[in-house]
Amino acid sequence: MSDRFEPEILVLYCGRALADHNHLPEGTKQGAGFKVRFVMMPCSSKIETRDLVKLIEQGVEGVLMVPCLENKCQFLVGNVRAEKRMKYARALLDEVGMGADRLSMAQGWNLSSEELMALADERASAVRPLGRNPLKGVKL
Amino acid sequence: MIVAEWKPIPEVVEKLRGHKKVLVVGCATCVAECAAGGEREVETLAPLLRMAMIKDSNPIEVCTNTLERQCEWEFVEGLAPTIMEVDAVVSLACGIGVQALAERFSEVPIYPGVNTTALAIREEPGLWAARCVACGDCVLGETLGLCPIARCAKSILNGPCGGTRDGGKCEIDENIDCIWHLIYERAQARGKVDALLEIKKTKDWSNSDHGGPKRILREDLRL
Amino acid sequence: MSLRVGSRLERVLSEGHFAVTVEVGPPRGPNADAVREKAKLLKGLADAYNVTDNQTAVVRMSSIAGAKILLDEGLEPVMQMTCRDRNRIAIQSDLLGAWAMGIRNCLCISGDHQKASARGKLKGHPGSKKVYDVDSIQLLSIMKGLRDEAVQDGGDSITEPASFFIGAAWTPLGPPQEFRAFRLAKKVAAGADFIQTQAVYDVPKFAAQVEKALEMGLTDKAAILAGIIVPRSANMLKYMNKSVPGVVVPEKAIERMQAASDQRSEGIKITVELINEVRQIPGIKGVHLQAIEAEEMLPDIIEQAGLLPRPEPQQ
Ligand code: SF4
Ligand code: SF4
Repeated sequence: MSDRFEPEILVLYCGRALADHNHLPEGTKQGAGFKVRFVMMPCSSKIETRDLVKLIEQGVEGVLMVPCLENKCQFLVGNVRAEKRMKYARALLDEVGMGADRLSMAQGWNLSSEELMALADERASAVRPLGRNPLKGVKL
Repeated sequence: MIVAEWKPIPEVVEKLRGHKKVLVVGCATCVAECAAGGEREVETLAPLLRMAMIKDSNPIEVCTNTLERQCEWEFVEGLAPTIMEVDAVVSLACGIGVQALAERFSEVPIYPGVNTTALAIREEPGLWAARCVACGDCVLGETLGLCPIARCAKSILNGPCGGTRDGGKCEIDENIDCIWHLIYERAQARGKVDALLEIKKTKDWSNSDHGGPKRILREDLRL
Repeated sequence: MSLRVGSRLERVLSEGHFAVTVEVGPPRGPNADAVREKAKLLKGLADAYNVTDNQTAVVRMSSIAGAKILLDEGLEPVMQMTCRDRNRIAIQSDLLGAWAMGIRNCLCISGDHQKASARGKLKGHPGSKKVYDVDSIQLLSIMKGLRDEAVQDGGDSITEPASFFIGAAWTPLGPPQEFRAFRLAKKVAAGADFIQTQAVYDVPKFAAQVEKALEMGLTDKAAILAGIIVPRSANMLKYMNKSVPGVVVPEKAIERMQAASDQRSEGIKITVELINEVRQIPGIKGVHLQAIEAEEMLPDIIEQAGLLPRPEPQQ
């Protein structure tokens, strides 16, 4: 098939989750069968439920949040809180029939850019069964 | 504050079928405090409704607004221009706010997006608990500041009942304090147990919802 | 002491007999024969029979109807009345009706909250509207008013008194334990003539609470009947210890039941022993036996406790 479905994944990561701060990935990259956009966030605690929901509304197939490890957060418990909000946002997406799996979270520490890419790949495989985001390209 | 909780989204979606442009209105007072209907929640629900309606094959346009207070006419009036442009409103305010909109803009359907559930306090982050049911005959002066009407499952005035669990919890839920147990403890700490020995007579509930819709008339304040 | 009402239960107690009451749970349906059968099984075993009022908030035949059926079968009922489902208008109206039909004993309790109805296997009615207009102590006062002054709670008189022998419940081991004797005092002051207690398994702890009541002079003013729930298995004892507020089951009793080859007959033995023990406690005037859904165990128990035949009180 020519226009094979390539899910678009958004990876929001905490800088502290990565090993090499000189080579932080940014922007859109092509993965094997998916597109991925990397965005560094100041701290996962800054991401609210409404942000998560809006990101899906904007049309990406999946969002992966990569905070740092539980006891490494610069705001101490930011990532723990983020996890709770993630859980809530997932439930909301389920409630509106979008599928909770469009949102997910994986803690990281000392990750290389390759490892981050591998996480995105995993996410892409997980959302592929959910199909295209029905909001994609919809003018709001 | 008045606390409310989101209705299940499908219940709201059901109401919106057939509409084209919907306004989601929040209130920045009580319901914002209890994280049900402030701006944050309005901006969370709006995208969810858009998604749900697309999934439901009923795409709609959703716009948002959060009033300072949805229960006062001065603030409600501010919606007048926007209301003209939509064909339905989802209000995340308490039942009072919803009715204020419905009264002022009676030509537009107004749907509640929340269930108003209690007069409560934030006990801890993410935990609200009832404190008052507006019984119309406050007894806090006799119960050391702890309300047995709102906080006792049986609203008893001569407690505690026989259902108090170990650890002083209420028979209906092991996570809820038996308020009479707390009243007793406070009385003991203050050397006031004697005050609990007096039999409290049957209560006059008529100055509340039980006496019919409540109306308060203050001649001194009328125009 | 002159009789207030002259019910059989009152007469048995006033003549100084050790009283026996047993509980009869009405059926979850409109079948009068189910009540009559229990009546036949239990006739002659007790001085009066408690008919429960939708216990655990599960819908059953009303206590007022159940009590009337017992009455027709020649058994004296203790009609239980909870505050859960009726406001003060319904309560007083039902009391007048009950008295008109010949019911003379009534036990006032707050009743399990409607949420309890869905706690077991049943759906129940957890969504029902809350009433609790009056509490159990206020209910006692209401009954006292109807009897002693022929006056309603609101102050209006009734044409003639409705005279009940008034009962109350007591949970001596419910927290806060230091307050329980005081609460009993409130019930006695409000009008209670007799008291049926929450189930006793820990006799020393129970006796200590009764002693407080005795010291406060309450045991002279109201007759305390010790409640005993007939245990049928170790699991039942464990459940009650853990989940029924105010019921304390000593570990020893659970172990003993566990070790028994026939838990049912061990349950009978334990009950008989409990009866004999509470009987020794100064201030205890009788027992209130509950064999929930196992009333057929009661004849053996009451017989073996030496409580038969029941006394025939004077008029
Ligand atoms: S006694 Fe009545 S008015 Fe006072 S806090 Fe309780 S419910 Fe509210
Ligand atoms: S356990 Fe305490 S709070 Fe609960 S119903 Fe009884 S008296 Fe009220």
